[in-house]
Amino acid sequence: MSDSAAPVRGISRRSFLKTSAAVAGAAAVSGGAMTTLAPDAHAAETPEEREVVCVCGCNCQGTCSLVATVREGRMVNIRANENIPYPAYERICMRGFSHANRLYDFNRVLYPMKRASWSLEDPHVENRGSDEWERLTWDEAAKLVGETLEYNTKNYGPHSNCILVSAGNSFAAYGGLTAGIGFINAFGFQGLDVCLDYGDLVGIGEVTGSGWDFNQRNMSGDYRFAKTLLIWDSNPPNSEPHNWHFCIEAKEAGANLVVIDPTYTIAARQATKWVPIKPGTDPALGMAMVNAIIENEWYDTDFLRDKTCAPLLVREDNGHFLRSTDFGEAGPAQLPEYPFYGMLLLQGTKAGKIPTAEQTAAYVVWDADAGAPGGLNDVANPALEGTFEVNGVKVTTAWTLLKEHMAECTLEWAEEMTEVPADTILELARMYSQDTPSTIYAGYHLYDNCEEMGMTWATLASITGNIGKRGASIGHLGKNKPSINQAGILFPAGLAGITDELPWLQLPEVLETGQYKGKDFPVRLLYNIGANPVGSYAAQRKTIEEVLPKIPCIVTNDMEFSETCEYSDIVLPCTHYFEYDWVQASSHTPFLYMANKVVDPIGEAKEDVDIFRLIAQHTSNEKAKAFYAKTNEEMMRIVLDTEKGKPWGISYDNLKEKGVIADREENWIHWEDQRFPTLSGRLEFYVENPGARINIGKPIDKDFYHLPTYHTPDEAYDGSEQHAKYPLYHYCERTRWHLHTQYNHAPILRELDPEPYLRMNPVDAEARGIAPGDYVEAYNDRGHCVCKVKFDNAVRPGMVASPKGWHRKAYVAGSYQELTNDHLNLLHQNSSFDDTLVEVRKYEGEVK
Amino acid sequence: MSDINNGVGVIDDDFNPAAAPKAREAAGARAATWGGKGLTVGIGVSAVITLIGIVLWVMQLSGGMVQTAMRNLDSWGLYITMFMFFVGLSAGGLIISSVPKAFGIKGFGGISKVAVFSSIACTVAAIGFVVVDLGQPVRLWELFAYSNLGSPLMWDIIVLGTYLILSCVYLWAQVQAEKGKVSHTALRVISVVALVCAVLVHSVTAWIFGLQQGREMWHTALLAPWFVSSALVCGTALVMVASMALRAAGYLKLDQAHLVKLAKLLAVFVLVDLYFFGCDLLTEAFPAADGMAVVDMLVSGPLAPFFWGEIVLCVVAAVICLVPSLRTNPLLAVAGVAAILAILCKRVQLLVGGFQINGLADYAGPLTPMTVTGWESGMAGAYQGMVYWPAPIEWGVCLGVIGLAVLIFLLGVKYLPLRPKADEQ
Amino acid sequence: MTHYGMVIDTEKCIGCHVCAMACKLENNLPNDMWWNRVLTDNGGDAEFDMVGGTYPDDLKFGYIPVSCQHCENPACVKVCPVGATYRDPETGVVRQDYDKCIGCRMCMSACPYNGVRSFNWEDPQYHMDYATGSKDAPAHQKHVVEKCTFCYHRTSQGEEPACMRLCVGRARFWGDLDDPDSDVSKMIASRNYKQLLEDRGTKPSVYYLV
Repeated sequence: MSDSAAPVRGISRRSFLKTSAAVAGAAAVSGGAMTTLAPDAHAAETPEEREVVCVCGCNCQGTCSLVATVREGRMVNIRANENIPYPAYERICMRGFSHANRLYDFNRVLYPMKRASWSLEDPHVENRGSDEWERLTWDEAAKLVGETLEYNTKNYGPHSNCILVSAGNSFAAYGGLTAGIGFINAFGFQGLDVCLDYGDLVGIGEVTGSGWDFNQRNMSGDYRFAKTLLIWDSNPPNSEPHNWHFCIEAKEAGANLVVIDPTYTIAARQATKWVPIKPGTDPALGMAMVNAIIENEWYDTDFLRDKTCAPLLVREDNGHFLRSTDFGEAGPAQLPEYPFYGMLLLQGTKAGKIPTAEQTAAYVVWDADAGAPGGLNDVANPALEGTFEVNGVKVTTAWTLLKEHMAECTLEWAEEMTEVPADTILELARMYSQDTPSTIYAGYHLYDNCEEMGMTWATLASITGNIGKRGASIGHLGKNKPSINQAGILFPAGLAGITDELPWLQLPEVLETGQYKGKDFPVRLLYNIGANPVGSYAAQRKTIEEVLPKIPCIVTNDMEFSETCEYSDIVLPCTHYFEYDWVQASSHTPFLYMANKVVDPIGEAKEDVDIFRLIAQHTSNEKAKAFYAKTNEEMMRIVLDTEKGKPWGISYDNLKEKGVIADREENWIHWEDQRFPTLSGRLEFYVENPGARINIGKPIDKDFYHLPTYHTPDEAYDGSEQHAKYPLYHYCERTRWHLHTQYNHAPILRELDPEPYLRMNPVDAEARGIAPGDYVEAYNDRGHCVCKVKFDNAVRPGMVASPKGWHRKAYVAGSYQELTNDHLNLLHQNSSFDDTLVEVRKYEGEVK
Repeated sequence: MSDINNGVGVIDDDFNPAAAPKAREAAGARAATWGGKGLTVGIGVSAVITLIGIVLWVMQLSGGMVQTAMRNLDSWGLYITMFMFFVGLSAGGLIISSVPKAFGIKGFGGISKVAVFSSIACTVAAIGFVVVDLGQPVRLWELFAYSNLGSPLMWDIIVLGTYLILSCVYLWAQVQAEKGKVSHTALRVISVVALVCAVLVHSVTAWIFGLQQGREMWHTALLAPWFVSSALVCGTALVMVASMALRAAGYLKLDQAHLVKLAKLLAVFVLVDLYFFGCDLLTEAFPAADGMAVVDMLVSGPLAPFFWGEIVLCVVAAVICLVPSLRTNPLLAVAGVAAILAILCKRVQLLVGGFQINGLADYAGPLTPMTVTGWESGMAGAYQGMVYWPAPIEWGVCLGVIGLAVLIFLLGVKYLPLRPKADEQ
Repeated sequence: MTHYGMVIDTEKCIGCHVCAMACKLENNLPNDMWWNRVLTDNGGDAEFDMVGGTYPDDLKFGYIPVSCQHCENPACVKVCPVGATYRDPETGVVRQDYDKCIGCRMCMSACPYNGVRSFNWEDPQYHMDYATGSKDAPAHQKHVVEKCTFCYHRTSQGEEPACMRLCVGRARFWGDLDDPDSDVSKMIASRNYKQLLEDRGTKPSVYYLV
């Protein structure tokens, strides 16, 4: 292996186009040919083959249990593990087959590196992206990072070290993302919130009480039992291919399989009905369905009375539910804001508490038989409708409020908004409420009105009783809170003193003003752990030109030399998830997995925990050092050896032996006892005290968010200011060829998907004088991108689509990510990537 | 000028007959060898071209056929086009020479032996084109060890080999007959066998394509007779042009009457060929079904230049040959060359057309650099124009093979007793 | 006698390319070579993965994985001059002998299923400097024709071809067409199906359920 300092040229568009350049490209990063990368130990190994049970750790949440074949120390083959508790979950995808490519990927980071002109004293941020790289030893690198963290902590406080953790190195129970969160909390640094995909979770969480946790739907095997399946804002065959066969099984059993999507996807092709909809208007469709269900009395009265907030009385004066304690000494209750806690992993830990009957005894309902108020637990026949007066306070049932509120959402109104015919909307409402059980398989509604989408889905489920039952659930992903103790390594210093994360979308203002929530807030360091903010986050040009230059030190752990690595000061090579032992918990499968190491790490790559252990040695934080003094196995045992895991046979030793253990039933039903983690234990389609996802010190209009209320996207609607200039709706499609910004450099995938493109309906292209095969420039005020055009009749006229995840340098110029909208919505604080308008013109420049 | 014409006049369409007398004088008395400096230069030049071709072929083999423009969806190219073409060219000489002898009718003057020798040169080129097209030429021996006698390609190899040998035998027999060592009866028998073989060789070459159910463009029973007629067109034209050139160079004398006879024959062959073409187009087009794609592709699609090229060239050749007042030497030369080029156009249509119509065109597949020529511009782009167009190395190798044929022919002219006997002139 | 065949449900295929990838890895296919390709059924109106027709009411879209059809009446076998491509009488698999192939590409012209046969136009190139896949898969040679072997090296050991190990859409089925009780035989008996270019008379052993 070459000892010389390894200059990194990065990668060029050419390297994507010509996949056979892959091996040559390796030299650019490693200073040596790919052959030199094999660790010496392999030479001694016999040529015999062995098989290793491992797990794909990329964050599509498919969590495929795989069997890798290793020959002479190299991974040579892979297949789906057929030896799993429930065979229906046997799975692998085409990306899974590319892991050998990824392991020996020419874009792997091989050594710790430092940007030549960077130093703590004089960081020369202006040289980022163009500087030479110097190779460091691990000791030098750990010392440099440790001392910088230490220096910042002493001089600017621990929160001046901002740590951005994402799932680029697996969304694990031990390892990857968990390791990064543990690192933040071991030292008390400032965690950054990624602002990705939380929008509709907020809306659903407000109703179900699940916070903005991802886990809402039943286990995917349960979709088989649905009689109506609404695939909404999602194309599972591409983004979650392993779940699709469950949907098709439902269809074969006679279910309505409906796809609601502006684009004609393969899911739409295989559905029993495709509902093309005007982009961004989906909440209006859902609201009109709610209204149609109410008007036609297709709701489930028993469910409404027993399982939802329908009979609860809402005070006219403060908008809260009436509680008997309101009239006692304490006065009206001080309510926590929904949806709760300022970091994702606390949603599962804290939001999952379902109240007992005693805890909900204070709620007051109107006894329809007695014509008087009574306690929720005492009244057998509470009134669902009506306005009453209790102790001089005017109150109305939540159900009446909803009915009155939704009355405006007529079919005609929705038809005008969504361009879906009124009778189609009516038919959808009928199917969903009458051909039950019904499941809403939601994707991410990446528009500014996403929280309304989530609330509407949850309201639909609440009024029809399509939740917590066999074949009936809503929202995203699946099972929550596996029977393990993740908190043990997520929060090494305990939960006390944990602070909310700082949303990435709020960061520009913090950097600009030096203030956060009214206090001085210097940001001295950004540490990206499996995160690629340059590649993955909206408004890329702003990230590169305005955000990063205001931060004097940027450190990145990654296995690939991502765009973010290019703009970093210190880059630390991280293992691929086949290069170390870790534990995977899963949302999409009813399993827990031991991800066994398949091959030795490439170059000098280390797993994240080992990197943090090295760094900890160069700090003065004794508690953190004590935490990192634990061996990896000890940490895994903290996670796995628990009381609550015993019924499932979960223990470190058992998992190591079995590889895969079931930790749920095959067709597990979420909230099967139909008690929900809201304050009332009921589905609260009326939100008492709506709150921002994370408290960033900016008030929201609470009155607006009590009930589902339509509002337009931020810019992607016909009446918006930008629309005259940029008339095309641009969205980022999650293709099967990438997973976020991962798999960009797997040459085997690039053979089939060689370069980025813009999909366009021929009608729009021809109107702009664009021919098939032309290069085009899509642009708006935030930036531009130049790539090939592809004529695609699946794309709704007026829309254009970019495949998500392509590396910036794969474009002739710019990047799709320059176009995307980084608007900060104060409530959901989510990146509304698809809430983006562009114009497209033929590119006349040179294409290299 | 004339000297150069001696070398390459065979395929040159603007040689200058006015220079002929001088050349004839230069030729001097009959000798074992014939020709002056011009011929020697011609031999040298064609030898160099052949050598360059061989070098390029070796490069093609060592660097890989990826250097050609052929790819998985257009897996044959210039070489097989030229193979078909040269098989056709080889026909003329032998048929022109053998038909009169076989049927005991009056021939075309003293061109018989030269004509047969041109057949030999063309056959060698045809075989050469198959060889340069092979990925594994060193495994050629397997053709004889593991012959699959069911394969039309195997038939063609057998027939082509036989044809080559027969042509040599026939030539030898003629020479021997002149010396009185072979009886005219024997010569006549050989000429009948040679004739049958010539017809077979075209039919079998046609069957390489025509028996394939996989390609719309090729799969027609008409293909075999049509190949024979096309062969007659270009073969006759080649003999006509070559004999005019040789006459101009003073190598032989040829009665204008013979030439006119050849021209009339050419006109008939051209008309027959066009008739076949018409039959085929009508059969393809009439049902307005799958065959329509073929007609569209030819008439107005990517192959239209070659389709209309063929039609126009054929008409030009036929008109010149049929209208007595147009049968001047320069125009007859034009007619001959036009007929040859017309058949070349036909060959291009046939080869590229076979690949141009993709049986799975309803389905779009992933494209890699190995899929199809022009894959970068997508499936639509690749098939927008001609799906295949040769790469530089193919032109080079192709020239080399043609150089070899010319070299053989010129060597024959120089060293073999191919000139007519005095009494034939 | 055994007659291996494949049934693919085009109503279920989601175009995930797992079968294509499994093939590529198992057989250590050289760069840019795909024995098994998942084609987009868009009427030829658009590029790979794109949809043909007119939005929104007349759209043409679907996927169809195409590899060697292992025809009962294979056009390729008949034309090979040296018998390098032949039909295995025991299994009905159309096989290819790399050592024998003279690289004339007659079989590629003969095969109506454009693209299922591929030629190594250069010395096989690989993204990695070691061989992936099964050690029993035959090594690749320059300038010879290759194609899907129905994973002969696996099927001869009693295993299914690599592409059949797991179809994500549960759309692929494999078995003995001569056995009336096999899954594939039953499916063909009970479902509507099509075969590619049936009119060419090649009698493919791959059936597409529609």
